[in-house]
Amino acid sequence: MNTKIKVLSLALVGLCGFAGSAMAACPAGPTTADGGAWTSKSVLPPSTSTLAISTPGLDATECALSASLGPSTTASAFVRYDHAASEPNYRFQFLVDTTALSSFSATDNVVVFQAPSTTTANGFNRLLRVSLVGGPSGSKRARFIAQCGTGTFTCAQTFATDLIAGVNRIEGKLTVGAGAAGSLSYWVNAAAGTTEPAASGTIANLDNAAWGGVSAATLGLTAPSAAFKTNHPTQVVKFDRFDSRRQTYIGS
Amino acid sequence: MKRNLLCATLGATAMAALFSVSAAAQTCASPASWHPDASGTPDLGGSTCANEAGILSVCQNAAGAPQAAFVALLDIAAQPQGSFNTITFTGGAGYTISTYLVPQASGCNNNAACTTVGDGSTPMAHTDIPPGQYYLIITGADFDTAGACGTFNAHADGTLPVTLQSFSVG
Repeated sequence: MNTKIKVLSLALVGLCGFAGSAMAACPAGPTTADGGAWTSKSVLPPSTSTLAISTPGLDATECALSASLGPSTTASAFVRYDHAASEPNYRFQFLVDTTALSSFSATDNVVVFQAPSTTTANGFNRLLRVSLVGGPSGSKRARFIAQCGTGTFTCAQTFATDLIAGVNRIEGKLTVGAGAAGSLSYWVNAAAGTTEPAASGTIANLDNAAWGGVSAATLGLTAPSAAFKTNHPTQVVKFDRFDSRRQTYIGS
Repeated sequence: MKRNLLCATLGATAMAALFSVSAAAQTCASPASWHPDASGTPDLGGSTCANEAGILSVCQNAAGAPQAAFVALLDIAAQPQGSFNTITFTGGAGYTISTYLVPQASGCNNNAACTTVGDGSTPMAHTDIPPGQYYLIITGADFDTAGACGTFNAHADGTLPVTLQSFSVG
Protein backbone atom coordinates (compact mmCIF):
# COMPACT_ATOMS: atom_id res chain seq x y z
CA MET A 1 0.00 0.00 0.00
CA ASN A 2 1.42 3.29 -1.04
CA THR A 3 -0.97 5.87 0.25
CA LYS A 4 -0.16 9.51 0.10
CA ILE A 5 -1.69 11.40 2.96
CA LYS A 6 -1.10 14.85 1.58
CA VAL A 7 1.23 16.70 -0.70
CA LEU A 8 1.04 20.35 0.16
CA SER A 9 2.55 22.50 -2.48
CA LEU A 10 2.89 26.16 -1.92
CA ALA A 11 1.85 26.80 -5.49
CA LEU A 12 -1.79 27.06 -6.36
CA VAL A 13 -3.11 23.54 -5.94
CA GLY A 14 -5.47 22.42 -8.67
CA LEU A 15 -4.22 24.74 -11.32
CA CYS A 16 -1.19 23.09 -12.81
CA GLY A 17 0.37 21.04 -10.08
CA PHE A 18 3.43 22.66 -8.68
CA ALA A 19 6.99 21.51 -9.13
CA GLY A 20 8.59 23.30 -11.97
CA SER A 21 5.40 23.97 -13.85
CA ALA A 22 5.73 27.05 -15.98
CA MET A 23 2.05 27.69 -15.50
CA ALA A 24 2.11 27.31 -11.76
CA ALA A 25 1.05 30.32 -9.79
CA CYS A 26 1.45 31.32 -6.20
CA PRO A 27 -1.60 31.80 -4.04
CA ALA A 28 -2.13 35.00 -2.10
CA GLY A 29 -1.49 33.11 1.11
CA PRO A 30 -0.83 29.56 2.34
CA THR A 31 -4.32 28.65 3.59
CA THR A 32 -7.28 27.41 1.60
CA ALA A 33 -8.99 30.71 2.26
CA ASP A 34 -6.18 32.42 0.38
CA GLY A 35 -6.02 29.85 -2.39
CA GLY A 36 -3.35 27.72 -0.73
CA ALA A 37 -3.52 24.16 0.56
CA TRP A 38 -3.13 24.47 4.32
CA THR A 39 -6.01 24.36 6.79
CA SER A 40 -4.97 27.30 8.94
CA LYS A 41 -2.08 29.52 9.97
CA SER A 42 -0.80 31.17 13.13
CA VAL A 43 1.12 34.44 13.14
CA LEU A 44 1.87 35.80 16.61
CA PRO A 45 2.36 38.61 17.31
CA PRO A 46 0.98 39.74 13.94
CA SER A 47 2.76 43.08 14.26
CA THR A 48 6.29 41.62 14.19
CA SER A 49 6.11 37.99 13.00
CA THR A 50 5.52 37.22 9.33
CA LEU A 51 4.27 34.32 7.23
CA ALA A 52 4.06 34.83 3.51
CA ILE A 53 4.30 33.16 0.14
CA SER A 54 7.50 34.13 -1.63
CA THR A 55 9.10 33.39 -4.98
CA PRO A 56 10.93 31.45 -6.20
CA GLY A 57 10.50 28.10 -4.47
CA LEU A 58 13.34 26.00 -3.08
CA ASP A 59 13.44 23.16 -5.61
CA ALA A 60 12.85 24.73 -9.00
CA THR A 61 9.35 25.28 -7.71
CA GLU A 62 7.36 28.42 -8.11
CA CYS A 63 6.70 29.37 -4.50
CA ALA A 64 8.04 28.98 -1.00
CA LEU A 65 6.72 29.70 2.45
CA SER A 66 8.70 32.41 4.24
CA ALA A 67 8.44 32.70 8.01
CA SER A 68 10.06 35.00 10.55
CA LEU A 69 9.48 35.67 14.23
CA GLY A 70 9.27 38.90 16.15
CA PRO A 71 11.29 39.37 19.35
CA SER A 72 9.15 37.26 21.67
CA THR A 73 9.45 33.76 23.07
CA THR A 74 5.73 33.31 22.42
CA ALA A 75 6.04 34.30 18.76
CA SER A 76 4.97 31.88 16.05
CA ALA A 77 4.58 31.84 12.28
CA PHE A 78 3.41 28.50 10.93
CA VAL A 79 0.82 26.75 8.81
CA ARG A 80 -1.22 23.72 9.89
CA TYR A 81 -2.89 20.96 7.94
CA ASP A 82 -5.50 18.86 9.75
CA HIS A 83 -5.43 15.29 8.50
CA ALA A 84 -8.74 13.54 7.93
CA ALA A 85 -7.81 10.54 10.07
CA SER A 86 -5.50 9.56 12.89
CA GLU A 87 -2.29 8.33 11.31
CA PRO A 88 -0.27 5.71 13.25
CA ASN A 89 2.20 5.28 10.37
CA TYR A 90 3.40 8.67 9.28
CA ARG A 91 6.11 9.68 6.86
CA PHE A 92 6.84 13.31 6.18
CA GLN A 93 9.32 15.42 4.27
CA PHE A 94 9.97 19.10 3.83
CA LEU A 95 12.62 21.44 2.49
CA VAL A 96 14.03 24.17 4.71
CA ASP A 97 16.45 26.96 3.83
CA THR A 98 18.16 28.62 6.80
CA THR A 99 20.49 30.83 4.76
CA ALA A 100 19.08 34.06 6.19
CA LEU A 101 19.56 32.95 9.80
CA SER A 102 22.74 34.32 11.31
CA SER A 103 25.13 32.02 13.17
CA PHE A 104 23.56 30.00 15.96
CA SER A 105 24.66 30.21 19.57
CA ALA A 106 24.67 27.18 21.87
CA THR A 107 21.13 27.79 23.12
CA ASP A 108 19.47 28.89 19.88
CA ASN A 109 16.49 26.65 19.32
CA VAL A 110 13.31 26.97 17.25
CA VAL A 111 10.72 24.39 16.21
CA VAL A 112 10.15 24.05 12.44
CA PHE A 113 7.85 21.01 12.23
CA GLN A 114 5.34 19.43 14.57
CA ALA A 115 3.09 16.38 14.39
CA PRO A 116 0.16 17.02 16.77
CA SER A 117 -1.44 13.88 18.17
CA THR A 118 -5.06 12.74 18.25
CA THR A 119 -4.82 12.12 22.01
CA THR A 120 -3.17 14.17 24.72
CA ALA A 121 -1.09 11.97 26.97
CA ASN A 122 1.36 12.69 29.79
CA GLY A 123 0.88 16.42 29.30
CA PHE A 124 1.79 16.47 25.60
CA ASN A 125 -0.60 16.93 22.67
CA ARG A 126 1.95 16.07 20.03
CA LEU A 127 4.02 13.11 18.90
CA LEU A 128 6.99 14.82 17.34
CA ARG A 129 8.85 18.08 16.98
CA VAL A 130 11.75 18.91 14.69
CA SER A 131 13.88 21.84 15.86
CA LEU A 132 16.80 23.83 14.54
CA VAL A 133 19.53 23.89 17.18
CA GLY A 134 23.08 25.16 17.40
CA GLY A 135 26.08 23.14 16.28
CA PRO A 136 29.80 23.92 16.67
CA SER A 137 31.14 27.27 15.45
CA GLY A 138 27.75 28.83 14.84
CA SER A 139 26.43 26.06 12.59
CA LYS A 140 22.87 24.73 12.65
CA ARG A 141 21.62 21.21 13.17
CA ALA A 142 18.30 19.37 13.20
CA ARG A 143 17.00 17.89 16.45
CA PHE A 144 14.18 15.34 16.60
CA ILE A 145 12.07 15.34 19.76
CA ALA A 146 9.63 12.43 19.98
CA GLN A 147 7.21 11.75 22.79
CA CYS A 148 7.87 8.47 24.50
CA GLY A 149 6.36 6.43 27.29
CA THR A 150 9.05 6.67 29.95
CA GLY A 151 10.91 9.21 32.06
CA THR A 152 10.04 12.78 31.11
CA PHE A 153 8.06 11.41 28.13
CA THR A 154 10.49 13.09 25.77
CA CYS A 155 13.10 11.21 23.75
CA ALA A 156 15.33 13.38 21.60
CA GLN A 157 18.25 13.06 19.27
CA THR A 158 20.28 15.59 17.27
CA PHE A 159 21.67 14.60 13.89
CA ALA A 160 25.37 15.21 14.49
CA THR A 161 26.10 16.67 11.06
CA ASP A 162 25.63 20.36 10.39
CA LEU A 163 22.89 21.50 8.05
CA ILE A 164 24.25 22.68 4.74
CA ALA A 165 24.17 26.25 3.53
CA GLY A 166 21.10 26.57 1.34
CA VAL A 167 18.27 24.07 1.03
CA ASN A 168 18.10 21.07 3.36
CA ARG A 169 15.79 18.08 2.90
CA ILE A 170 14.44 16.55 6.11
CA GLU A 171 12.38 13.36 6.10
CA GLY A 172 10.97 11.23 8.88
CA LYS A 173 9.11 7.99 9.49
CA LEU A 174 7.13 7.96 12.72
CA THR A 175 5.46 4.76 13.84
CA VAL A 176 3.01 4.88 16.73
CA GLY A 177 2.77 1.76 18.86
CA ALA A 178 3.27 0.15 22.24
CA GLY A 179 6.78 -0.66 23.41
CA ALA A 180 9.24 -1.34 20.63
CA ALA A 181 6.50 -0.94 18.01
CA GLY A 182 6.84 2.82 18.39
CA SER A 183 9.85 4.33 16.64
CA LEU A 184 11.22 7.25 14.67
CA SER A 185 13.66 7.13 11.79
CA TYR A 186 14.89 10.27 10.12
CA TRP A 187 16.92 11.33 7.13
CA VAL A 188 18.74 14.64 6.80
CA ASN A 189 19.96 15.50 3.31
CA ALA A 190 19.89 11.89 2.18
CA ALA A 191 21.31 11.05 -1.24
CA ALA A 192 18.96 11.73 -4.13
CA GLY A 193 16.67 8.87 -5.11
CA THR A 194 13.46 7.21 -4.06
CA THR A 195 14.92 3.97 -2.71
CA GLU A 196 15.02 4.14 1.08
CA PRO A 197 18.63 4.45 2.27
CA ALA A 198 19.93 3.75 5.76
CA ALA A 199 18.45 6.28 8.14
CA SER A 200 20.48 9.22 9.39
CA GLY A 201 19.25 8.26 12.84
CA THR A 202 16.65 6.26 14.74
CA ILE A 203 14.98 6.56 18.12
CA ALA A 204 13.72 3.10 19.06
CA ASN A 205 11.27 1.82 21.67
CA LEU A 206 9.19 4.98 21.85
CA ASP A 207 6.21 3.22 23.44
CA ASN A 208 4.03 6.05 22.11
CA ALA A 209 0.68 4.29 21.62
CA ALA A 210 -0.95 6.53 24.24
CA TRP A 211 -0.90 9.43 21.79
CA GLY A 212 -3.05 7.56 19.25
CA GLY A 213 -1.73 8.85 15.96
CA VAL A 214 -0.77 11.94 14.01
CA SER A 215 -3.73 14.27 13.60
CA ALA A 216 -2.08 17.22 11.84
CA ALA A 217 1.14 18.71 10.55
CA THR A 218 2.52 22.16 11.25
CA LEU A 219 5.35 23.77 9.30
CA GLY A 220 7.02 27.09 10.04
CA LEU A 221 8.56 28.66 13.13
CA THR A 222 7.34 28.33 16.72
CA ALA A 223 8.55 27.88 20.30
CA PRO A 224 11.77 29.91 19.98
CA SER A 225 14.24 29.86 22.83
CA ALA A 226 15.09 33.18 24.43
CA ALA A 227 18.39 33.06 22.57
CA PHE A 228 16.65 32.65 19.20
CA LYS A 229 14.27 35.45 20.14
CA THR A 230 17.19 37.73 20.94
CA ASN A 231 19.55 36.73 18.15
CA HIS A 232 17.29 36.23 15.12
CA PRO A 233 14.32 38.60 15.15
CA THR A 234 12.76 39.05 11.69
CA GLN A 235 15.26 36.69 10.04
CA VAL A 236 13.47 34.60 7.42
CA VAL A 237 13.41 30.81 7.15
CA LYS A 238 11.99 29.36 3.93
CA PHE A 239 10.05 26.12 3.51
CA ASP A 240 8.80 24.17 0.52
CA ARG A 241 7.56 20.81 -0.81
CA PHE A 242 5.88 19.30 2.22
CA ASP A 243 4.85 15.70 1.61
CA SER A 244 3.31 13.12 3.93
CA ARG A 245 2.61 9.44 3.32
CA ARG A 246 1.70 6.29 5.22
CA GLN A 247 4.04 3.70 3.80
CA THR A 248 6.82 4.45 1.36
CA TYR A 249 10.00 6.46 1.53
CA ILE A 250 9.59 9.85 -0.13
CA GLY A 251 13.15 10.78 -1.17
CA SER A 252 13.76 13.03 -4.14
CA MET B 1 33.84 49.55 72.58
CA LYS B 2 34.10 45.78 72.57
CA ARG B 3 30.34 45.52 72.14
CA ASN B 4 30.47 47.89 69.18
CA LEU B 5 33.26 45.82 67.64
CA LEU B 6 31.27 42.65 68.20
CA CYS B 7 28.19 44.19 66.58
CA ALA B 8 30.22 45.40 63.64
CA THR B 9 31.77 41.98 63.18
CA LEU B 10 28.39 40.26 63.38
CA GLY B 11 26.91 42.77 60.98
CA ALA B 12 29.69 42.28 58.47
CA THR B 13 29.31 38.53 58.74
CA ALA B 14 25.58 38.77 58.21
CA MET B 15 25.98 41.04 55.19
CA ALA B 16 28.61 38.75 53.73
CA ALA B 17 26.22 35.85 54.10
CA LEU B 18 23.42 37.86 52.59
CA PHE B 19 25.30 38.81 49.42
CA SER B 20 27.30 35.76 48.74
CA VAL B 21 27.79 32.60 46.79
CA SER B 22 27.10 29.30 48.46
CA ALA B 23 29.83 26.88 47.54
CA ALA B 24 28.68 23.88 49.49
CA ALA B 25 26.17 22.36 47.12
CA GLN B 26 25.81 22.52 43.37
CA THR B 27 23.39 19.78 42.32
CA CYS B 28 19.68 19.56 41.62
CA ALA B 29 19.14 17.98 45.01
CA SER B 30 21.23 20.56 46.79
CA PRO B 31 21.74 23.64 44.64
CA ALA B 32 24.04 26.52 45.34
CA SER B 33 22.65 29.95 46.15
CA TRP B 34 23.75 33.26 44.67
CA HIS B 35 22.88 36.67 46.02
CA PRO B 36 25.03 39.42 44.50
CA ASP B 37 24.62 42.91 45.89
CA ALA B 38 23.58 46.03 44.04
CA SER B 39 26.95 46.23 42.34
CA GLY B 40 26.65 42.64 41.15
CA THR B 41 29.25 41.39 43.63
CA PRO B 42 30.15 38.59 43.92
CA ASP B 43 30.12 36.80 40.59
CA LEU B 44 29.05 33.19 40.57
CA GLY B 45 32.08 31.15 39.63
CA GLY B 46 32.86 27.48 39.67
CA SER B 47 32.96 24.40 37.53
CA THR B 48 30.39 22.18 35.87
CA CYS B 49 32.71 19.24 36.59
CA ALA B 50 32.14 16.98 39.59
CA ASN B 51 28.80 18.46 40.54
CA GLU B 52 25.41 17.53 39.04
CA ALA B 53 25.90 14.62 36.64
CA GLY B 54 22.40 13.88 35.38
CA ILE B 55 21.48 16.67 32.97
CA LEU B 56 20.93 14.93 29.62
CA SER B 57 18.46 17.42 28.24
CA VAL B 58 16.85 20.65 29.34
CA CYS B 59 13.63 22.54 28.63
CA GLN B 60 10.49 21.35 26.92
CA ASN B 61 12.28 21.07 23.60
CA ALA B 62 14.79 18.79 25.30
CA ALA B 63 17.88 20.77 24.40
CA GLY B 64 20.74 18.32 24.65
CA ALA B 65 23.30 18.58 27.45
CA PRO B 66 26.42 16.60 28.33
CA GLN B 67 25.22 15.52 31.81
CA ALA B 68 27.76 17.53 33.82
CA ALA B 69 26.24 20.69 35.30
CA PHE B 70 26.38 23.21 38.10
CA VAL B 71 22.99 24.06 39.62
CA ALA B 72 22.07 27.14 41.63
CA LEU B 73 18.76 28.29 43.05
CA LEU B 74 18.00 31.94 42.32
CA ASP B 75 15.45 34.34 43.74
CA ILE B 76 14.29 36.72 41.03
CA ALA B 77 12.47 39.77 42.35
CA ALA B 78 10.37 42.22 40.43
CA GLN B 79 12.00 45.49 39.49
CA PRO B 80 13.19 47.69 41.08
CA GLN B 81 14.21 45.35 43.92
CA GLY B 82 15.58 42.80 41.50
CA SER B 83 17.57 45.49 39.83
CA PHE B 84 19.90 43.48 37.62
CA ASN B 85 19.27 43.86 33.92
CA THR B 86 21.35 41.01 32.55
CA ILE B 87 23.37 38.03 33.65
CA THR B 88 26.33 37.32 31.39
CA PHE B 89 28.19 34.03 31.19
CA THR B 90 31.76 33.06 30.41
CA GLY B 91 32.79 29.44 29.97
CA GLY B 92 36.26 27.94 30.21
CA ALA B 93 37.92 25.33 28.04
CA GLY B 94 36.58 21.82 27.56
CA TYR B 95 32.94 22.57 26.86
CA THR B 96 30.56 25.19 25.45
CA ILE B 97 28.72 26.99 28.20
CA SER B 98 24.93 26.82 27.98
CA THR B 99 22.63 28.00 30.75
CA TYR B 100 18.95 27.39 31.44
CA LEU B 101 16.55 28.97 33.92
CA VAL B 102 13.74 26.64 35.02
CA PRO B 103 10.99 27.48 37.54
CA GLN B 104 11.70 25.69 40.79
CA ALA B 105 8.14 24.37 40.86
CA SER B 106 8.76 22.55 37.58
CA GLY B 107 11.68 20.57 38.96
CA CYS B 108 15.33 20.75 38.12
CA ASN B 109 15.65 17.89 35.66
CA ASN B 110 12.19 17.26 34.23
CA ASN B 111 12.46 18.80 30.76
CA ALA B 112 9.99 21.41 31.94
CA ALA B 113 9.56 24.60 29.97
CA CYS B 114 12.49 26.95 30.47
CA THR B 115 11.81 30.56 31.36
CA THR B 116 14.91 31.75 29.56
CA VAL B 117 18.34 30.62 28.41
CA GLY B 118 21.81 32.06 28.05
CA ASP B 119 25.22 31.13 26.69
CA GLY B 120 28.62 32.59 26.01
CA SER B 121 27.24 35.16 23.59
CA THR B 122 23.67 35.49 24.86
CA PRO B 123 23.00 37.02 28.30
CA MET B 124 19.89 36.30 30.32
CA ALA B 125 17.65 39.37 30.47
CA HIS B 126 15.60 40.30 33.54
CA THR B 127 12.77 41.32 31.23
CA ASP B 128 12.35 37.65 30.28
CA ILE B 129 12.06 36.47 33.88
CA PRO B 130 8.94 36.91 36.05
CA PRO B 131 9.55 37.11 39.80
CA GLY B 132 10.01 33.73 41.46
CA GLN B 133 12.46 31.04 42.38
CA TYR B 134 14.38 29.31 39.64
CA TYR B 135 16.98 26.64 39.07
CA LEU B 136 19.92 28.06 37.12
CA ILE B 137 21.40 25.08 35.29
CA ILE B 138 24.87 25.75 33.93
CA THR B 139 25.98 23.00 31.58
CA GLY B 140 27.41 22.35 28.13
CA ALA B 141 25.95 22.48 24.63
CA ASP B 142 24.00 19.88 22.70
CA PHE B 143 27.02 19.26 20.49
CA ASP B 144 29.49 18.76 23.33
CA THR B 145 30.63 15.22 24.02
CA ALA B 146 29.11 13.33 26.94
CA GLY B 147 30.67 14.41 30.19
CA ALA B 148 32.23 17.59 28.75
CA CYS B 149 32.65 20.16 31.48
CA GLY B 150 34.73 23.10 32.60
CA THR B 151 34.92 26.30 34.58
CA PHE B 152 32.46 29.16 34.33
CA ASN B 153 31.73 32.64 35.55
CA ALA B 154 28.34 34.33 35.79
CA HIS B 155 28.07 38.08 36.31
CA ALA B 156 24.91 40.00 37.17
CA ASP B 157 24.92 43.75 36.62
CA GLY B 158 22.84 44.27 39.77
CA THR B 159 21.43 42.46 42.75
CA LEU B 160 19.64 39.16 43.10
CA PRO B 161 18.23 39.72 46.56
CA VAL B 162 17.51 37.23 49.28
CA THR B 163 13.80 36.45 49.41
CA LEU B 164 12.27 36.76 52.87
CA GLN B 165 10.67 33.38 53.41
CA SER B 166 8.95 34.11 56.75
CA PHE B 167 8.80 36.86 59.27
CA SER B 168 7.35 37.06 62.74
CA VAL B 169 7.42 39.50 65.63
CA GLY B 170 7.66 37.78 69.01
